[in-house]
Amino acid sequence: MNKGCLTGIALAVALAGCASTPMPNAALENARTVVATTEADPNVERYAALDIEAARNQLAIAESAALNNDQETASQAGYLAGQTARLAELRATAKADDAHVANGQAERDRIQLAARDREAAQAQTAQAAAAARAAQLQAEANALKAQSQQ
Amino acid sequence: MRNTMRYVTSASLVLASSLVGWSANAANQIADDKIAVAQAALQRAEQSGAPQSAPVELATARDKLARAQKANADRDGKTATALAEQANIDAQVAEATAVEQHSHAAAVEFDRSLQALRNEALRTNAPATTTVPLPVAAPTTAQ
Repeated sequence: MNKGCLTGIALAVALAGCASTPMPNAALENARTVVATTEADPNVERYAALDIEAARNQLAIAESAALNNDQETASQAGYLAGQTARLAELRATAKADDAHVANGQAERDRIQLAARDREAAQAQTAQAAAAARAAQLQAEANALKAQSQQ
Repeated sequence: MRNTMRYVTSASLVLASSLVGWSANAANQIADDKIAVAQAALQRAEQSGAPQSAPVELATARDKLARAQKANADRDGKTATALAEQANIDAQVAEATAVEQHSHAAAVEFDRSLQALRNEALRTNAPATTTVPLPVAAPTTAQ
């Protein structure tokens, strides 16, 4: 009786052990890592929210298939989850680069505009100086002319 | 009675075989759709610069698509569907790799040109405050 009971408990423990630790699945384990590192990138939530959501959904399918010992589904969904997470990372990085350029464009326009303004101001100053010089020369010529007529 | 039994048996056989045929067709329909989606993704990837940026990923996608088509022709809808799904995501990753490389190169080039512009502005701005009055002073010294 006692022995039978112990065997039963041992069997139950063994079965529970089997149930809580399903067979390792390479695609699923890779997907867990890739999805976690992708989620850690702040650009991903910002620029590829739908893609990372799709990756999380695929990972959930893979996890539940692994719990049910459906290795085939776990592998397939795990592979799709990992690749979808990579897609999210790539798209987020590309959009972040595009945003960086778009933000810098404002600074570039400002610098270019300032340079044009400066050139225009310099040209105007040079023109005014030339006009002043011309007027001065004219005045000097007039003075010399008046002197010679005296 | 025996005839009726035989009739029922053959009728159920016909029904069973048609059911098998129907489910195989349904599986093939799904595989057909997934293959079409993967083909479109591959085409986009090939036009996006992926052949240069992600040749390995693209080759994997092509290989999986070919195997999906083969499995579909062999009426193995399940394998065809799984391979087509993988080919589709691989092709998208290849395309996204190309797009990302392009965006990154553009951002690096932009930063380089912006830095050059900043330096240029600093160079012309610093002496600008002292050089601007010079043209006015020049005629007076020439006098």
